[in-house]
Amino acid sequence: MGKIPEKLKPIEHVITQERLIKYAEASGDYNPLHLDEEFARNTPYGKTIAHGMLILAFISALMTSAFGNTWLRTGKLKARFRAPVFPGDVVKVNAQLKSSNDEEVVYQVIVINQNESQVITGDAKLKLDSQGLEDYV
Amino acid sequence: MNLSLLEKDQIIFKKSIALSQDQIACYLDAVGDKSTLFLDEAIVPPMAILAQAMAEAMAAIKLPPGTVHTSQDLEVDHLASVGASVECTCAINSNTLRSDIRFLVLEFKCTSASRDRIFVARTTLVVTE
Repeated sequence: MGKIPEKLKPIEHVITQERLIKYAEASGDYNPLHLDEEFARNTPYGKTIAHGMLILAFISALMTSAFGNTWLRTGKLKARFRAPVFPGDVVKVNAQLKSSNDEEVVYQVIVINQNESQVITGDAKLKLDSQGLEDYV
Repeated sequence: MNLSLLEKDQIIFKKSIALSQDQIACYLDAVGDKSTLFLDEAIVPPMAILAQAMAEAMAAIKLPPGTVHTSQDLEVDHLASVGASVECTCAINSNTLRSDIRFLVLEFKCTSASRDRIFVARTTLVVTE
C-alpha cells in the first residue's frame, strides 16, 4: 500500500462565464442565476455566480487524480458552500489529511478564491479495502 | 409549485438516467477534469449523474431561479457504466421555513439495473420567499 499523502497537490481553476454556460449544457442546470447577467443583477449577488456543483466537481477531480478508482468506488464527500464564486474568480482546491486508520482516510478539503476566502469547506473520505491505496498516483 | 406543500418523503421524481460517452466527455470538459479513467474504463463520474438528477429535481418542483445550493453530501458505493441506465429517485428529506427563507433538503438515491446502490446524496437548498 502506498504512503498516504499529508497534502494533495492543489489545483486551480479560472471561472469564466463561458465555463458556466458549458457546465449548464453538460448538467442541464440552466438556473438564470448562473447564466443571465440581467437577472443576476437584481439578486443579492449583483452578478452571475458559478454552479455549486461545478466547484464541487473540482474537489472530486482532485481526489480522482490522487486516488483514482478507490475514490470513485468508495468516496464520500460532505461539503458546505460558504461563499459564491463569480466569473473572473480563480479558485484553488486544497486537501489536507485529517485522519486515517486501517479502514479509511479523511481529507479536509477547502476551496479558496483569489482573496483567500473560503468558498467551500468539507471532508472527503475514502475507504481502504483489499486494494489499499494502490490507485494512488 | 407551492413549495410549502412539499412533505417529508414525498417523491419528487423517479427516472432512468443514462449518460453517453459524448455527454461524459462534455461534462469532463466543463469541469476541467483531465482524468482519462472515465473514458478509458467507460465509467460515469458519479457527480455527472448527480448533476443531471439535480437539474431534474429543480425542474420537477419548479424551484425559483434564485434558489441557492448551500450544502452537499455524496456517498458512492458502485460505479455506473457508460450508456447504462441507472434509476434515480429524489425525495424530500425536510422542508422548513424560517423568516421567509425556505430550507429544502432533497435526498437522491441512484441504483443500477441490478439494484446495486450507486450513490446516495443529500442536497440543501435555500429559497427566499
